[in-house]
Parts: sequence; C-alpha cells; structure tokens
Amino acid sequence: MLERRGEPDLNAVWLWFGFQKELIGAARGNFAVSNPPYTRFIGQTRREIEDFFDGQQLSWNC
Amino acid sequence: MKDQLVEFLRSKKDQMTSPGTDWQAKKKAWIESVHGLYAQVEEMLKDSKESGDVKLQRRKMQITEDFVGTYSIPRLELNVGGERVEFRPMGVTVLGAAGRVDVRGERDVVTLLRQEVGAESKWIMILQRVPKLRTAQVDKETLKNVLEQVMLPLH
Repeated sequence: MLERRGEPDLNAVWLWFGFQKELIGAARGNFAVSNPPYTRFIGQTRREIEDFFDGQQLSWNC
Repeated sequence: MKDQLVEFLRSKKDQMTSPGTDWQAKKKAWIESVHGLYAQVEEMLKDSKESGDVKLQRRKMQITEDFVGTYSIPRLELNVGGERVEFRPMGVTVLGAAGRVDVRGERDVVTLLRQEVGAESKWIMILQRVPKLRTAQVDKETLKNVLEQVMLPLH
C-alpha cells in the first residue's frame, strides 16, 4: 500500500500536499456554511470571531 | 553572529510576500465589487433620487485587515429626510464569503455578503443565521426589505 508508485519528485509531493490542503479548506468552509451553530459566524471577521470566543472565556471565568 | 531578531523579521516578511494567495488581486476585485454593489443600489433608487426623496453620497473610508493591509474603500450614505442609512464595507477576509458590507440604519444592521461564482461575484442578504442560514439575492425587493428593517418604522 505504501510502495512508491512512479517516480514522485518533490514538486509532485508539494502538488499533492497543496491539493489536500485545498480539499481540507473547502470541507471546512462547507462545514461552516451548512452547520449551525457555525452559521452564526458566516461573514464575520477574524477579530469578531476572536472577540466572541474571548467573551465566552470571560463568562466562564466569572 | 547575525542579528536573530533581524533575521526572524526578514523571514516573516518573506513568508508573507511569497507567492500564494494574491492579496492585492483579492483586494482589487473586492473594491470593484463594492463599487458594483453601490452602482446596483443607485440604479434601484434612481427614481427616488430624481424625485429628491433620497440623497446618495459615496464617501471614502479606510479598512485595515490581516494580510491585505490598510486601504481606502468607499461607503455609501443614503439620506431620507433626517434619517441616514450607511452601506459600510467590513472587509474581504471574512468567514464563508468573499467580503461583507453592513447596512446600518437608526434601528438595525443587516449584513450583505459577497459570493464568488467563478470569475463573477454576486451579493446576497442574510435573512436568518440560526437555526438555519437563510439568504436572498440583493434586488429591488430585498433592498426595500433591508431599508424597512434598518430604518425607524413608519408612524
């Protein structure tokens, strides 16, 4: 199963890595778009999301 | 021995400017898309503008975002009588969309999202986030609904 197929060079490995990274990114995006309660974050900036979670931590600490 | 702080910062800068996401192209497309949205809104409000019921004005503002930096982008102001509604761009680096503009009135705020469909982009309005995301295309009818929602109610 793990035997080498063809002659993959470093570029081919990076290409495969990039492809997998894109797939993971797309899956995360779809998950966020289609799964509540994550839909609450659609359109939010990184800072707004961070503020939301910081607020959660504060309320736990109180 | 090399200054490690200098080397670290240089490496970070090189990493940020290395080929990958073309943030300048993203920013350019985003700003053009915002101009497109305003042109669409201005066209929808053409009759009201000509009759003097609505005054429209584009003003410049600045946004600072991670990766993109600080840039100038227009916001659109609508004045209806003494009431003001503002179309305010919030950024291109947002979750699950290719940009966001908030419509802020005296009563409420409505979110418009930019979605990329191939090389084109379109604008949608968020109707509801939870329990299920509901959106609608921005057209004359949804613009009326947006304004009704964000502006003070009619007496």
